[in-house]
Amino acid sequence: MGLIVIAAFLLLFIAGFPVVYAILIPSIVYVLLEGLPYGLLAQRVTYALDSFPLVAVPIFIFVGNLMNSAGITDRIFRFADTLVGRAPGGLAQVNVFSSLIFSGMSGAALADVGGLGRIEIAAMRKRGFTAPFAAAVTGASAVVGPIFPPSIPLIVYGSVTSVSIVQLLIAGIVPALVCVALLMLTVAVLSYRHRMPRAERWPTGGEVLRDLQPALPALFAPFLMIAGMLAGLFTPTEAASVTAVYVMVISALFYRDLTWPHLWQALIITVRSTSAILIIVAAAALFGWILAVEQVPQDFSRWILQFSANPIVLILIANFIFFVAGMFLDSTTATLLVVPIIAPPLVLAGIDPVHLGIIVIFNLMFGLLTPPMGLSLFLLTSIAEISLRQLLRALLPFYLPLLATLAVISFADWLVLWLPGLLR
Amino acid sequence: MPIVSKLLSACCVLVLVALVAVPFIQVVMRDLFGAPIIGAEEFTRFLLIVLVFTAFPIVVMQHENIVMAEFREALPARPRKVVAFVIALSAALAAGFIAYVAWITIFKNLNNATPTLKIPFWLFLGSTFVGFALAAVVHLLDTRHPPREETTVL
Repeated sequence: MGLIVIAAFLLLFIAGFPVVYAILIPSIVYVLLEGLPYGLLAQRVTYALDSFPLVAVPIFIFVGNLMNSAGITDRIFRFADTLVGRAPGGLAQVNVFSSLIFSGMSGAALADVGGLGRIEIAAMRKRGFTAPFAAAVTGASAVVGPIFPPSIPLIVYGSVTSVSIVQLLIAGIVPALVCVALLMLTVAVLSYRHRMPRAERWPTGGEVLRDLQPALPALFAPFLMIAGMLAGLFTPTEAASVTAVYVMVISALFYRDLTWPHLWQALIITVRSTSAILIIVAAAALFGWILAVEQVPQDFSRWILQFSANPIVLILIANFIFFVAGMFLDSTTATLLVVPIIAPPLVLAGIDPVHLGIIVIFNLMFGLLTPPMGLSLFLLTSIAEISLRQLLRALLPFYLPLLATLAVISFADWLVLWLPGLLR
Repeated sequence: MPIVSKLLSACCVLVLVALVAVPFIQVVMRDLFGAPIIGAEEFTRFLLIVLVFTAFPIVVMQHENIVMAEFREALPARPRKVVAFVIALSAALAAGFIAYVAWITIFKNLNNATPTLKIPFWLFLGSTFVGFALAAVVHLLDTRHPPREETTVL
């Protein structure tokens, strides 16, 4: 019966049903056929959201939207331009570097693409970069966001697996820096081969200071949040709230760019995004419960462990499964539906759940850049006004550093677990 | 419908503001004044539930549900219309059913409440009922003119 429910979900999902109904309809039919009490449906769906860590999700979405609405994104970009605009690749390097800074405040890859990405692509085109290349750099660098704290996908993963969210967020720092370094190296190599434009000279100390000054309050936000969590001053949810208030204060009082219409727009977009994402969390709780009743995770554990109990082999299998899942499912759905089935045998075989979390989320973020369900791809083609084929061709060289990062994350567990290890 | 949408949006924005404010106030009260607010976490969880379900009809109205529409979009015009109709009708039935079971469950839990703040459970389930009932109505209206596509707002 469990497999029939899964098959029904996939069928409805492929047919174009909204994810929430692709999950709910087979679950309702299951409850009716099994003669289970109806009250179970309402309770499972409602109380799935009775989780304090999940409160961080809307707040971080709000921070991302606020930064985009209030012009903070512009200042981050200007500072990054001054700092690394002379590096080989010029604005393409700025693009990667700004994504890292932006991701330190927002927790979503698509907020990066939709907000900062718009500015980056427009600026790169003005300086002579092709639109597909500008879009490709933007998409590739946005993958960094959800593994660098704060991260909405890692919060959802932590709430599903009951793994410490602080440990997960801290574990993402080193892999994100590795990914940024590899992307910048790729941009440098491509810029030498294609003679891409860059700033005429390195900035003077005065110029760096001039652009650092307006960016400094924004740059302080990620430090405030990470330091606060590391010092045990606040939980990830409280950190999200402190960051949101801090961003509102600097936007209103320091930058003086925050108007009521900006604030209203950021709030209303956040309301809709939050509901669109978390309604799936609510529905998936029912689905997850049905899979547990049908003992699907246990059956899967037995099945997968008969092939090998070697952690390296299991990590390779996990990479394959989550890479494919990321191609077809959005990250929230994949985390909620696939993780509870795949994670138990891997953890049983000795893979650290924090390490597994980073592997899972990086694979799923990679899925944002792969057809057929690559949400970043669709957003980028619309922003840059290019075809999907043009974008995919320009993205090809960037798959290499992303795959290299995935290899590092997968097989250098000591690197991923080094920072969380200091907390344990 | 625009009035309902505006009213719901205004309510949800208020809830979101409270959702951002309560954890911040808790940090200030606890870390600066040593006087944490009892039940702040419980109240925040309640606000999250209210926000997600109450905003769901807005998501449905704006056609912003997360969906993989590639297969549907690749169909010729007529079958695509049929599939869109079937989806809208099935979604209306599923949402209506969840609203119905939420309504029944409310009356079975009238005396239950949260442990610290004693927030009645019917308030939690009430938001589930309102959210799915309104969503069902919107889906039903959609059966007359099914949406051409869903646009994800993320």
